[in-house]
Amino acid sequence: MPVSGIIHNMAIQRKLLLIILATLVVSLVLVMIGIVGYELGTYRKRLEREVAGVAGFIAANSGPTLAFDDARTAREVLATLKGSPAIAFAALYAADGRLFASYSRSDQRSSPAPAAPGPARLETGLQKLVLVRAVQQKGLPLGTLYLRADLASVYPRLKNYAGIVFLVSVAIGAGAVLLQRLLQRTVSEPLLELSGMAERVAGGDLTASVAVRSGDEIGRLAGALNRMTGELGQSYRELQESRARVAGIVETALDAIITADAHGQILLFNAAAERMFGCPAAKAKGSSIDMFIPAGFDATGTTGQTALGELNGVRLNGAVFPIEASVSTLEVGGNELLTVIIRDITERKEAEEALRASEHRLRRAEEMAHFGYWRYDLTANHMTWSDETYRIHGVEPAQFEQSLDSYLQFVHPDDRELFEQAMKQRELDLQYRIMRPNGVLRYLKATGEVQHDERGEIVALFGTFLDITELRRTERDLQEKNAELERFTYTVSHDLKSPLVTVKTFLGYLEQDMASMNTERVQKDVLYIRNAAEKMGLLLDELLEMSRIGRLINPPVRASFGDLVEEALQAVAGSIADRGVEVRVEGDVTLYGDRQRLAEIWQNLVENAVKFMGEQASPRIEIGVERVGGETVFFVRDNGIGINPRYADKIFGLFEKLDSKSKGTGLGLALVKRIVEFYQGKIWAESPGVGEGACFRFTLPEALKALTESKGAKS
Amino acid sequence: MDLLRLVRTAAAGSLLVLLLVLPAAAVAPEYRVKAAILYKFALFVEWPAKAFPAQTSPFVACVLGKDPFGPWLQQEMGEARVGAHPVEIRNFEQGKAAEGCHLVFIGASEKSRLEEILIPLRGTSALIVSDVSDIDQFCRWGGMISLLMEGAKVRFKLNEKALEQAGLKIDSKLKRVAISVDCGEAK
Repeated sequence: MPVSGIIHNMAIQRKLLLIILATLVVSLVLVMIGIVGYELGTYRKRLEREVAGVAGFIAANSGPTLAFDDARTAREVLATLKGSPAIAFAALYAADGRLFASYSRSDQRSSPAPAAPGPARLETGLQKLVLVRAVQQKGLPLGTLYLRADLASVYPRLKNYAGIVFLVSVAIGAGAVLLQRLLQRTVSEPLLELSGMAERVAGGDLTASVAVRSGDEIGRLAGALNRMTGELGQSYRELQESRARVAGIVETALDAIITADAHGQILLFNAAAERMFGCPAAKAKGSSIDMFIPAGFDATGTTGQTALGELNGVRLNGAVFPIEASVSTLEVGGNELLTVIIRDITERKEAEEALRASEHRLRRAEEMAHFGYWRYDLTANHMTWSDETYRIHGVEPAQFEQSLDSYLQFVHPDDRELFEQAMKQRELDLQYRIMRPNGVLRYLKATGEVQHDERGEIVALFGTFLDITELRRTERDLQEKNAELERFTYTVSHDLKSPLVTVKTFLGYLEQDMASMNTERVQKDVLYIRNAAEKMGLLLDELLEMSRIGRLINPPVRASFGDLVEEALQAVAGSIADRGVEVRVEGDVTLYGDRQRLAEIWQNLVENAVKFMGEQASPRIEIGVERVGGETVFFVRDNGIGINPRYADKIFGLFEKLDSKSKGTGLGLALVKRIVEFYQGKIWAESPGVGEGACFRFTLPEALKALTESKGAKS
Repeated sequence: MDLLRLVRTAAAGSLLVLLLVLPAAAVAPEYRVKAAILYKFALFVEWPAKAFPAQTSPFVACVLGKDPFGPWLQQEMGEARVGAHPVEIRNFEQGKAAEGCHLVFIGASEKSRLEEILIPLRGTSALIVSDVSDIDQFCRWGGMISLLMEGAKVRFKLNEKALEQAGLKIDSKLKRVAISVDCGEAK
C-alpha cells in the first residue's frame, strides 16, 4: 500500500524513468531467459545432430583404418574432430574390443578412455552427450566408435549474450537518465507552471495567465487554460452584476418577495415583505411561511408552474388582510425552491367594493329614473349601451347589432330624418319616437356630449337616453287638464254668468217692482231669482261632483253589476216613472271599485237616456254586459232621439250640450267619461242617426282586473 | 546381436588360431592378415550390378597359382558374406584361367606370367589383387591392388585407373589408408 502511494505521488519524470527502466529490465530479463532457454534447448538438439553427423563421417572414414589396422590414419581421422569443438573425446575400438585410436579435445584433462565403449547408443545427459556406434562395412562390423560431447561451448556463447545484454542495459540506462532531463524540461516544468497558474485561479486570481511556449498538447493546454480563465473572469463579473441586479430588484420591489425551501422555511424576506407583514427579515428567516400565509396553498409540484390566488395574509401583529399571491417552484441543485410574490390588495379590494357599490347605485338610479347610458364610437361605428338603455328599447343585449344603422330601425320612420340630421350635426339634444320590437311606441329624449382625442378630432359621442313617454303623457294630460280647466272656467263663468245675469236683472226688476208695490211681479221676480240661484247651486253641486272623481274617496269593494244598476235605477226612478220607460237589465258580472262612483255611471247614462227619449211612444232602455273580442263591454241602449254621428265625440266634452234647451248641466256624460277613464276604460256612443236611438258602450278593465287578480290569488 | 556374435566369433576364432599357432608365431601370420585384408577389400569395393545376377548370387573369390593362404582364406572369408552375397572360394591351379571371379588373387608363384594372366582378365569386373614384388609390372598389366609388407604390417597400393577400367568403384576412404592410388607412380 505505501509503495503504491509513493509511486502514485512521484513526479512524472521519475515515473517515466521508472517505467522505462522497468520495461527495460523486464524485456532484457525475458530476452535473456528466452535466449538461454532457446540456446540450451536447441543446443542439445544441434549437438545431437552434429555429433550424429560427425559420428557418421568419422565412422565411414575410420572404417578402412579399422579394417586395415591403420591406427595412425585412424588417429588422423579422429584428429579432424578438432573442428568440432563440441566433441570432447572420441575413441575407436577394434572389432575385438581393444582401443584402437582416440582423440581428446585440448581442454580435456586426461580422462582415460572407457575400457569398453558399451553398446551402440545415444546417451544424453545434462552436461555431456555420448554416442556409440558400430563401424561396419557391408554388414561386417569392423569396430566401434565412441564419441563424447559436452555443452562446454554453449557457455561462452551465453556469456557473450549476457555481456551484450549488460552493455545494452547500461547504454539504455544512461539514455534514460538523459531522457529524464529532457522530460523535465519539456514536460514537467511546463506542467508545473500550468498547475501553478491553475492554483492561482483557484485561489481567486482571475487575472492569472501562462505563457504558451510550445505547440504540443501542453501548449494547447496552456492556451485553453488562459482562455478558460478569461471566460471564468468574465462569467464571474457577469454573475456579480447579475446578482447585484437581482438583489436590487428584490429589495426595491414594491411587492413582497419571499423565498422558501420545500418545507416552507423562509430563506429570503425582502424589504417590501418586511413592511407588508410588519416583521423584520431577520425574524422571518427560518420561520415557516405558514406564519404569514396560513391558507397553505399547494405549490404545484412541477418546476416552473405558477399558481395565482387571492388569499389572506397575516401580519406579525395578527392582523388579517387580503393578498394576491403567485407561487412558482424552481429546482436548484436537487432542492425545491418556492418563490412567492405577494401584493397587499386591501386598497384594491376596497376600491373594487366601492366601484361595485357605485355601479350598483348607478344602475339602480338608471332603473329608477328610466334613463340609460349610450356611447357611440365614431371610428369603430359601434354603440355601447347600459342595461337600462336596453330596457328602454325593449331588447336584450344580444338582439341589438350596436351599429348606428341598426339603431335607425328603432327610430320611428317619421322621426328618422330628424334623427339623422341631428346626428350629423352633432346636435346632441333631441326628442324622437322609437318603436320597440313588440310594437310599443315610446318617446325618447337623447342627450349627449362629444369626446375629442388629443388632436381635437371627435372620436366618440356619449350621453343618456331618457324614456319620456310617461312624461309626455303626463304633459298631455296636464295640457288636456289645462284645456279642460280653461273650458271649465270659461263655461263656469259663462254658465254661471247667465243665472247671475238673471238674478241681477230680476233684482233690478225687483227693485222697481218693490218700489211700485207690485206684489205679483215681485213674486215673479223672486221666483226667477230663486230659480236662477237654484240653477247656480245645481251647477256648483255637479262641479263639485266632477272634482271628486279625481280623488278616490271610498275604498274599493266588490259589487255586482246587478246591484249597481239597481242602485242607479232607484236614483232615477222618478224620471223613469214619469216618462214611463221600460228598463231591461241583462247579464251580470262582479265589479270591484268605488261603489258610488260606479253606480253614478249607470245613473247618469240612464238619466241621459230618459232625458233624450224625445217623442218616443214606447221608450225602452236596455242595460247589459257582454263579451266582445275578449273584452267585457257594458252597454246602455235607448230608443230615444239618438245622436248625430258628427257629434258622437263631443257629447263627452265638458259642458257640451247638444240641445241647449234641455235641462241639465251638460256635465253628466263628462262625469261618466271621467269615471270610466279612471277605471282605465273607454266609453263611446253609437247611434244610427238622429231619431234612431243611441247605445252607449263602455269598458271598465280596472274594475274587473282587480277582481280576476284577487280571484286568481284565491285559487 | 549379430554384431556381437560376429565379434565373439571373430574373437574366438582368433584365439583358437592363436592357440594353434602359438608355438609358431605370437603375431598373426602374414597370409592370415592378407586373407583378412582381401575380405576387407571386398567390403570396400563396389562391383557393377551385372557382376551379380542375383541378390544372393555368390561372391567368387579366386586364388590363381599356388595358394599361399593355407586355411586362412577359408577361415577369414569362407563362411562370410560380402553384403548379401555368400563367399565362394575357388582355387585355380597354375595355368588355368580364372573365370567368373569377383576377386582374383594372384599368388607370388605366378609372378612371371603376370601378363598372361592379367590380360584376359581385362574386361571382366574382377578385383585383381596380388602381393608380387614387381608392382610396376603388375600395375601395368592391369593389376589393381598390390600388397606389400611394411614391417609386420601389410600395406597396399591401389591402381585407380585399372579399377576404373574394370568398372569397379573403390571407397574413397580406402584411398587414405592406401600408400598410393596410382601404384606409386607419382607423375
